[in-house]
Amino acid sequence: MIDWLRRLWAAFERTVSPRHFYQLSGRWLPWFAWPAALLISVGLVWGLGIAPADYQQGNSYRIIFIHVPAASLAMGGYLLLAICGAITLIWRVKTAEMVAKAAAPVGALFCLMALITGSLWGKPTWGTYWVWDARLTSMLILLFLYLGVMALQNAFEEVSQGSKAAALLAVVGVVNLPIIKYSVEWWNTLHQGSTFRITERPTMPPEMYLPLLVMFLGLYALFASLILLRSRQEILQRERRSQWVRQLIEEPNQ
Amino acid sequence: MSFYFSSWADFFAMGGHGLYVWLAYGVFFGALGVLTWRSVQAPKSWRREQQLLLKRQRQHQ
Amino acid sequence: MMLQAAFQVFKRDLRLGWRQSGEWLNPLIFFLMVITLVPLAISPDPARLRELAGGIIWIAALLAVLLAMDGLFRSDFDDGTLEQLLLTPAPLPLLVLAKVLAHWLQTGVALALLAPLAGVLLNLPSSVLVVLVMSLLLGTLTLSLISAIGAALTVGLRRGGVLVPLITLPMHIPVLIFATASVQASLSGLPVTGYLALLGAFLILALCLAPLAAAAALRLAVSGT
Repeated sequence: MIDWLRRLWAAFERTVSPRHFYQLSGRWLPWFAWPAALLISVGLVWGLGIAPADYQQGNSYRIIFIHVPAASLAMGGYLLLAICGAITLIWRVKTAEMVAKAAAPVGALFCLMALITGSLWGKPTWGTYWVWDARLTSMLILLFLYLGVMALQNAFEEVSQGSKAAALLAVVGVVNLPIIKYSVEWWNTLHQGSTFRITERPTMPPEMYLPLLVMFLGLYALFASLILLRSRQEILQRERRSQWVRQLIEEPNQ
Repeated sequence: MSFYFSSWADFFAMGGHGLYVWLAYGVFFGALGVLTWRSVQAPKSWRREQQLLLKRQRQHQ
Repeated sequence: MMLQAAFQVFKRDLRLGWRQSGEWLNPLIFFLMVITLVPLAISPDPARLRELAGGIIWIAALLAVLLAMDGLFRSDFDDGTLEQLLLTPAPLPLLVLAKVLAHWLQTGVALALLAPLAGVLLNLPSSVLVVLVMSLLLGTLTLSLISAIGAALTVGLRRGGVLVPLITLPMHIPVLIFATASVQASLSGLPVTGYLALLGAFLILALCLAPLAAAAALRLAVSGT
């Protein structure tokens, strides 16, 4: 029985090995990349050109088609970092380290984009580029969490040590995330007073909801494509001394 | 389904909010474009680099 | 037996800290300086200072704690004591807790004792000072525990001290929010027990989890990978 378990574990380890992941991701990549391009193109035309204007906000609301998916990806990205971190620490799977290294800048960029697009949406809609409401403040804090993880990943000479330290930080961060969100939300209600609240939008009509969904799917597919692409490169770099990478380099074409 | 805007001029003006909408979309896709391009380029240039490295190693042997 | 080892570590750190007066004195002086900077930079108007006092004192305290935290594991790492600690049979989280407590007695508690002075400088009424000190006692220990994780993660790095604030500040925010809320509530004559209880809850959570995370980080740092 133990022997069978051992063989099962060995099979699992082989499956998640960097080399195997490299091969798998190569096959998956087109299935994310092409739909991403298609969905984003359709979403752009639909959201910018076809969907009607909002009767309250006019045409500036069209920014939500990129702002909302960006915010969602920012949070999903950090969750991915935390999951990779947990896998790294518990099972010492090297591939998870590499995926985390590849994914961190992507998530951080989406976080920054969520902040910038949110700010540009705020100006025509509520008259100000920035307001310290719960959502924007939480997103700003999330950006700092990302920067912390990225700083740790790159601070060590020994790349693997940096990845493991960052993995621990990501796990600690994700535990703190609900506490931070709750605190910031509570803080926001405390200081309502003169500041206005960015109220929840009433449910969107399908003419607006559908292009948003298309952009959501397209940007998620783009996110996945970027992560696969960058993970593959990270794997090649980290494993460059191994036989299979050398063979790959010497092949005349991919 | 038909286009919401009646002319290209209207499309770019976005009812007066053109600056914000186009700035937002521009920054967003500009940044993503740069990230995507770099992510696509990195393997290619790295491979070229490694090929040169291996060639030089073999020459010295 | 395990408590023995922890107690030894605790006593040793207290003794070492006391001898190196620069270590614990600097953060306190820093704290007072920041407090002094605020009226100079913003306004000496008593009413305005009173309004902002809670936040200012707490930010100054937070920065002082961060400043002091970098040295928590560094000297032990440099002279090899840390490796020894890892080898003792006593559970590492317990030893970490002992170190943090010793360190906190020299920084956090000292800051809490200095706080009434800062409160007077910033025109806080004396009834508020009690709440201020309590919030600092509860809060600075939590901050020290969280920062210990950052200190442990960066202990091997040459210039790791710069990273500790970046890594740990987001996680300090909940403590900051509720601690300053307690002071502001006290200022307005509102009940503060809820806020202090919540700070206590944060502290308990940090006492349970932070030593575990810091111990894991120390093992990473010492083992190399």
